Amino acid sequence: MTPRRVAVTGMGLICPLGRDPEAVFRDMIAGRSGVSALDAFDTTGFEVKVAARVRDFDPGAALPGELGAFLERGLDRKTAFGLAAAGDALASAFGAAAPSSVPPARRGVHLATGLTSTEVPEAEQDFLAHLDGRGAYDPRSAGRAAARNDGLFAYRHMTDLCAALVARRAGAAGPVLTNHGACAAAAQAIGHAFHDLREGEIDLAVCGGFESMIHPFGVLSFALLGALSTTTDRPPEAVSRPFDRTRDGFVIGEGAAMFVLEPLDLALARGARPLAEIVGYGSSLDAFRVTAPAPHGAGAARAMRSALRDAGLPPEAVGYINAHGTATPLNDAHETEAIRAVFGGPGRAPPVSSTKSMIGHAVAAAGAVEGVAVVQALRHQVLPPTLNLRDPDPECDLDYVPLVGRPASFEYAVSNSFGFGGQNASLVFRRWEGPA
Amino acid sequence: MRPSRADVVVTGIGLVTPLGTGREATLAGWREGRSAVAPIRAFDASGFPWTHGAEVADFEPRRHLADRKAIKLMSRNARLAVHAAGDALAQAGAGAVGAGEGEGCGLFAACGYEVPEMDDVVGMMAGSRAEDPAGDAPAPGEGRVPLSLRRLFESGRHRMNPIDALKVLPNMAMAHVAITHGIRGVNLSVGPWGGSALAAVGEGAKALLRGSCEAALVGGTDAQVNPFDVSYLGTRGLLSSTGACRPFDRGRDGTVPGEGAAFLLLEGRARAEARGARALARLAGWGSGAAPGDGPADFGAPGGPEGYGGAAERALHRAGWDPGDVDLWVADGWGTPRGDAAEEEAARALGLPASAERLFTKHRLGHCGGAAGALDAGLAVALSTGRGARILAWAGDPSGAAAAVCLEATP
Amino acid sequence: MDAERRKIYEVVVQNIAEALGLDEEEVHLEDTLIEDLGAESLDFLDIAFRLEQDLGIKIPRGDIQARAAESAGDEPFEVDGVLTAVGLARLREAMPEIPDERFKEGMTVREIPYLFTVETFFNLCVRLVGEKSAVTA
Repeated sequence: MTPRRVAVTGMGLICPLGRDPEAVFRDMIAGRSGVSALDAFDTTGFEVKVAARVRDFDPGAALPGELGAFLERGLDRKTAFGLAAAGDALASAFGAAAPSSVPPARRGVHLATGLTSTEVPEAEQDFLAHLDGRGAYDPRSAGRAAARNDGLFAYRHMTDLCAALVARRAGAAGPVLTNHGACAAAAQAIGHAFHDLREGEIDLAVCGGFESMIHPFGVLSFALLGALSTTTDRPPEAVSRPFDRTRDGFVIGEGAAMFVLEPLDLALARGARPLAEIVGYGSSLDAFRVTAPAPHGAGAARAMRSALRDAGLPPEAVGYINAHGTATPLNDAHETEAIRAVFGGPGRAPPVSSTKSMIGHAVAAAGAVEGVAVVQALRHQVLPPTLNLRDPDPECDLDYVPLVGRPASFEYAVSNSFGFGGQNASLVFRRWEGPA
Repeated sequence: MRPSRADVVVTGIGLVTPLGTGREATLAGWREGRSAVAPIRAFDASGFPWTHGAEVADFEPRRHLADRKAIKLMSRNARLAVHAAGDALAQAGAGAVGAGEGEGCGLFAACGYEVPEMDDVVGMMAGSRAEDPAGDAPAPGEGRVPLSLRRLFESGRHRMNPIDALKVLPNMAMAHVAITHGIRGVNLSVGPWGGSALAAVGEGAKALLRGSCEAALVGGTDAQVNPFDVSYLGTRGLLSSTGACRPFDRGRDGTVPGEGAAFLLLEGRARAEARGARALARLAGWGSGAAPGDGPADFGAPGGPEGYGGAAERALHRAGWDPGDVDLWVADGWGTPRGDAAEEEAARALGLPASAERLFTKHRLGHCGGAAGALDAGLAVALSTGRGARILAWAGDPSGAAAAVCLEATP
Repeated sequence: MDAERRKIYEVVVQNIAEALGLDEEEVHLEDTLIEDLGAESLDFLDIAFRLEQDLGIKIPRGDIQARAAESAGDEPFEVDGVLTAVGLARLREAMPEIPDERFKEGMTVREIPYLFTVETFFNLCVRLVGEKSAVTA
């Protein structure tokens, strides 16, 4: 079968800058930040003071009535994000209509998320309640709680619930998978959906990621690893500063983004309006250390080369790179080195920016949320900036589009997502140049 | 050396199962007719309504893992996976990972939930209680015991070793397999559901055909005999309260939690021949399917007839087989009332022949979660190599997703 | 070595051996953690945690460097990540157990952990245990 072209025909976004992809992108171009004081819980005694939180999101109101009663029983925040974003994506692709012309077996769902949730209520019910006076864990107590079975234990911890519900909503009876590839997860999910469409396995995919770790144990787990910024002498919106000499870690974000992908020919035949194409996906493993990237960003470079090869493109075709750009000292230096190795040094590499400077790190959803920024950049021919880059690091010597967005004329863009454990993924997007 | 569709072969099978650490130990246990299902020893399960499990009893990290320093960073999922991957690569022989730095070898795996190990977090949790209980107070067990964030941040957190926070990242088993065995190619990590490991097998095959890798290590790992996973499976109504998993039996009442890891090495036949590696089986087909339930909380039937049937139909179609060609049907056999009925229904609708032998494992191995599908398929191939059987294996999950593969064991 | 120091020594060697997957006989006072014993940055977190639990002390992260930088007073300790002459001298004073020739001109801040030996941790623990007893007394 001749490889088919794959179009993005719908997208949904829940991110710290809002829910409307157009408005969010306008904010990004203007260099507005979604980072604010960490007020999701009392941070007294905790060194992390900022986060990029989704505001004004009411899971009940955001979701249709059929799920209402179920949600009240305790749907977790990330799953609610995912369902809402998937609903928006399907609506933007099909309006009120259902994608009825595609047989259910040829519809797939590839989602991505991170850990099972241990928010404070889970900790109190599933851990603290089972400790005796000396602080030892008593599994018999956990057993008695499970025997009483409030029916919710599994739902508090399931990470595949979102994919199952999205599959139901999209009427999908083909592949339904949830990716657990850490910070590369969403890019992997999108990449595999893209391959399935290109190679004729399916004719419709809902793909993307959903994540929420802005709760005490979520933030603490990254703080224990020393990955988060602990800056307190700047306003919250100035803390996330990828590629800056003074960068000191990432700002945790949250949210979801979902895409509807279709073969270009089928999309055009049904009168859909493509937003962009996906043309390449590649991945790699560092096989080096569980936390530190491989020397010289070798793994990251392999992922980008693999994606370009998959797209059949030379490096010079790429006009923009949306970096992983977490603002940890190691990531940004190694990612820069990797980009130099693949695309050439200053003057030869395309402009690079990190939208994490504005929306923080959405962890397992990052590749999807940033994918929306890339699609918007291609549509509007404007590069989103790296906010707060005022003191360039001599080790990071590329064009990072500092502070404000910039018009550009470009056809292809790369989006990078690199996970802890050395799991790397890169996607290549193409501007849709046909009738909009 | 991109293989054609007909040329993807299995040259290595690695198993760590409740019947034994390693493929040979597992095969020996299987042939002896042993069952590993027994009262749970890993923790005191006497408070649970589900007291039996299938544990990998003979696994010793310091004996079965080469890098002593890395052990402290590995969850049990990762430990079992690293050994099973090594077992598969050893059977596949020299050059299995490939030339260079392993960038030609892909890794596609379903990995179990990385639930916090109690030993790692208990200090932090105990140090974060809002009030100190009396020293001899039993665990209250009921409801919630309040947490104090102030105590968590000021003292509790200092009782957790930061490196233990790494064990709960969801892709760590993958990372350790890659690090230990020098695998640097394309990859995918999916969650730990019934059909996930077989879906990973299919993804690996597709990557080979695409030319994205020259070899692919595919499979899964899951260590489910812990209070968290037992609560998870049990409260979803999937575990047997009698402690006996009885697939397809009239009196069946659920499965038992198991643990294990299984990996297969896939490559093109020409590459295998060039390395002098023996093809144990040909991977002829693969496919996925889903049967989402009706109500919001309805995820009762693993796979559902449409899930199993749809996945099998696609796998058979790709293999170019008629259902009547199947000699060996590797059934899922959770032992749950609805799941097994859904399988029977799917098999009937598909037209699997009554003459096909049926293999299932969970009454002896428990349900090994994310590893399950690859474990069953790997065991079936290992038992059939030399017999030339045409194998259809499928596995599914209560959320509705299922996957299937067609394997032709080498005569 | 008095009993207290002997006990600290044993705790340090035991924990470093455990953290690095070594037998205690393989751990010597003069061994550097990174080059001789194969430690990586993560292992420093692990070793510090284990010592804190066993000795009841708190090891501030980056303590040695911070103390050296503090003792440099108003003079710059480093410029663009490279240690100044003053910085180098202060660091040498903070780590008397390290042979002089290891403090090389042009050394960067990131290279400091490469200097650490088992004795560095031993000395650090002796000091912190001493400060703790002083407070308790």
